[in-house]
Amino acid sequence: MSLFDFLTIPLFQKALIGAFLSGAGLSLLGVVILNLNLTTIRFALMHIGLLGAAIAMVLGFSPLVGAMVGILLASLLLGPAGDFLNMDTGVSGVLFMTGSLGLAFLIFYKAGVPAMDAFALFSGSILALSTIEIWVIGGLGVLMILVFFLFYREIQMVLFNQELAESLGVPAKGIRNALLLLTGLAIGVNIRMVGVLLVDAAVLLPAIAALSIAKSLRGALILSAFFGILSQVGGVAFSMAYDCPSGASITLAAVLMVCLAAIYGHIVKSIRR
Amino acid sequence: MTQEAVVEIRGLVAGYGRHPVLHKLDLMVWHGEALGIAGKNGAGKTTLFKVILGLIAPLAGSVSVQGQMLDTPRVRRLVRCQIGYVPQLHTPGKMPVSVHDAVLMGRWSKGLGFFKRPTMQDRQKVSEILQEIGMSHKEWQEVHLLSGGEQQKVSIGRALVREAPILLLDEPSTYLDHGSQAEIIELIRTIQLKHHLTLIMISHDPEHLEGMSDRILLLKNGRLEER
Repeated sequence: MSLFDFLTIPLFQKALIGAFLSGAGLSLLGVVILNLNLTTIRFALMHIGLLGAAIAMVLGFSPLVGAMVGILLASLLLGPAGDFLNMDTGVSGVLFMTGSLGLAFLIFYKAGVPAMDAFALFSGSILALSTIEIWVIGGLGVLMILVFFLFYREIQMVLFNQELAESLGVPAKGIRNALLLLTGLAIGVNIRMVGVLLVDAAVLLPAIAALSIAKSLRGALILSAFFGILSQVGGVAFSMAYDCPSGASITLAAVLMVCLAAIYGHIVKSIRR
Repeated sequence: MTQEAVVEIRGLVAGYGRHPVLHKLDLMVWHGEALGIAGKNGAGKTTLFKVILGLIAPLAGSVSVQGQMLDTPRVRRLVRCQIGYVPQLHTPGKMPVSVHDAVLMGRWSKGLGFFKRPTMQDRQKVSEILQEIGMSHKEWQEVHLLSGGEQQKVSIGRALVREAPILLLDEPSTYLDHGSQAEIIELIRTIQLKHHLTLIMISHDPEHLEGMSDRILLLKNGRLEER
């Protein structure tokens, strides 16, 4: 079966649409994670998303919805929980991460979730996206693009220097929390598509590639979306054509982007010198 | 310098949560004055700046800037437009921001704001300021690729582009090499005279304030003392 034959099958059409929407909209958040140093928090959110998905699976709901609800609650609770426990957000993130991972395994064990179903959460299943899930991914992607378009200057200031943004009158904390929430939701969606283990490939790697060659935030966002689309759609297409796991194909495509961008950045720097 | 108080603080108690850092602090800053405030780390210098900027509400006492009491969030927001703030030099992240855009940020809440895009006048103003601080030739270079002295100039440019009569400078020359320090001190003196600015500068070391200040106060145990 050729790639074009696959494109006539609704299952693969949905996967490609999901990959395009996720690449275009959700990859933008990688730029936020890298610049606001949210790497520990995003790791916590990934695992809380896993717990939410595990609970949803046991209760018979969509794992995507479960992951999103879990992450939504965690985004709202991480800050206050850290204050209550007198820990910084990074440390409370570690607590949430390990706690939710332990709880997820306990739920899988006690509810007798088949190993393959549990494994699907770790590796993702873009080919199993439902129409509703496509709408959720599309809606979230559009929301991300809209947020960055409407609040570009404010986001730029917060990413550049939060203290400075505050002194200029920008509601920096509010913007930071909103970005944290959006980051959580993007992670939730990508857990469904590429799995917990490979979320970084979908969210962070396009941004890493973009930031290694961009000369402005606008450029970084556009390139991040471009690399996101290329790696996600390219990865899915590759997995169809060569019968490979989709999550792993997306990840390797994203790794390739980072390598090529780094080489390009290095060459440009050498020429400038 | 004239005997018109630009900043007037009486009996200020301020801090974080239940722990006051400033205890019954009094301060008058006169129009056109260059005031230096020195104090050890943790003495409350940054807290004092945050109070003047309206980012922290006083626990007790009164603060007025340009004759306006900072007693409501609305007034604090309005007063913030009349202040240019140069934060401590920090290591910038990897986010690419051009010198032009970094200075343009200073127009926020002056001309720029939510759903307001920069106008030709905003851009024109940025170009004028870059000319003045000697950074026109690096207008489109990324800030994180500049030297410490150049980054400090960009910070000063961002404060100037607000066209504010008061400038707050946090450790303006502390983390720079000798050459850059002299350049920054010269620049601060020049812009003060040209724009008739009132300057308040803080540093952990009084020596760093000497070339730029008309008088220097010491912040000790939450109160100000003459040097």
